[in-house]
Amino acid sequence: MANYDDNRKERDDLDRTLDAALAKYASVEPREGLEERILANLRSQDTRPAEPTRWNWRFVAALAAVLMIAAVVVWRWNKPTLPPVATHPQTPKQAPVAPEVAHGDENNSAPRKSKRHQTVRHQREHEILAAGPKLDVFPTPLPLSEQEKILATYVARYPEHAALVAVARMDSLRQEAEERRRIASERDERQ
Amino acid sequence: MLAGEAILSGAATAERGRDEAIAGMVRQHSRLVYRIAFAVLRRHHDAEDATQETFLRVLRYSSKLAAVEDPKTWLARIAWRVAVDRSKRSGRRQEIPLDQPEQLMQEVVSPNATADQTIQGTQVGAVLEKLIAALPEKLRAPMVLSAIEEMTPRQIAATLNINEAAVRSRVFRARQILKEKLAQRGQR
Repeated sequence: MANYDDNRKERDDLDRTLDAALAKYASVEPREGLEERILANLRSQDTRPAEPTRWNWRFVAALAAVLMIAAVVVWRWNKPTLPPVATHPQTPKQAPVAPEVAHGDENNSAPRKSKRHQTVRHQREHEILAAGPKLDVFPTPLPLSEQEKILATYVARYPEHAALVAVARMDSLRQEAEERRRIASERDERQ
Repeated sequence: MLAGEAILSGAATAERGRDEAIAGMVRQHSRLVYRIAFAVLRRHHDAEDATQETFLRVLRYSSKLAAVEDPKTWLARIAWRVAVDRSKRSGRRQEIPLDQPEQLMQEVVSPNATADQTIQGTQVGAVLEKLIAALPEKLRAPMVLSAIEEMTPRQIAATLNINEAAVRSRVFRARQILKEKLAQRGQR
């Protein structure tokens, strides 16, 4: 019984010692003026400390974008340009077509196409004409013959006479066509 | 007042309110933060640096202040993390195995002191400090936090992200170990 009491007393003593030591262990006091130092430190900081970080990220992102663009520009600048290759060697002897003629046909055949589309197509035609001998007009226009050249010269020099001749020629062609139609209808009636 | 002016005025008021809230936290809890930091770092200078860093973090996360339900526990958790991070960075803590109490005592006790003088005298604090430092991390953390009078078991549990029952059982085990070691030394 005495042993039990001794043990219990010893445990109590240990508990008390431990409690006292632990209380002393934790009950530390900061140096005088800790609050003021903390507040002064907080005031000296930016009131929005997250801003510099955001700014840094924005700056880094912008810098990265600029560097990427610069790299692409340099790469494209230094890229070797390949010489144009003729893709249609089977029609090398075709005469080149004036771009204006092609455009006129193009406009007549597709009047509803947008201007942008036409511009793109125009550029593409120029590229095709420059790149190779392929022609997109059929039949291929040939150079003027001697008689055609004389006629062109006459029309250019005497336009009024040429107009009269043309009207007379058109009238005679129309009369010939009517005569041919009349003969054909009479033949049909007889049959 | 124009809408833009109203928005600016509201923002200024909110910012003033936030600053006042932080200043209130400093006035109310700076000692607790300091004690938590000191419990880990055991140096006044380091504890004060950790306290400053804790409140700087509070300032950084001030946008979340409105959503904080228990500012004291929130602050205690930040202080604990800051102190533990600093402790790890400095790597100053000296681990002494608990199963070598002789070595432990030799380090903190003068060779001429008797056992009774050692345990009951002024060197008890130093012995206890070494014994606590030698505890496993799992037991030491709730032990040192429970020694701080402002901390309740619930707040310790929230700070260490464990449940309250675990806090109680770990503190009990830590105390048992400390008492055993002290008793062993007292019998010699």
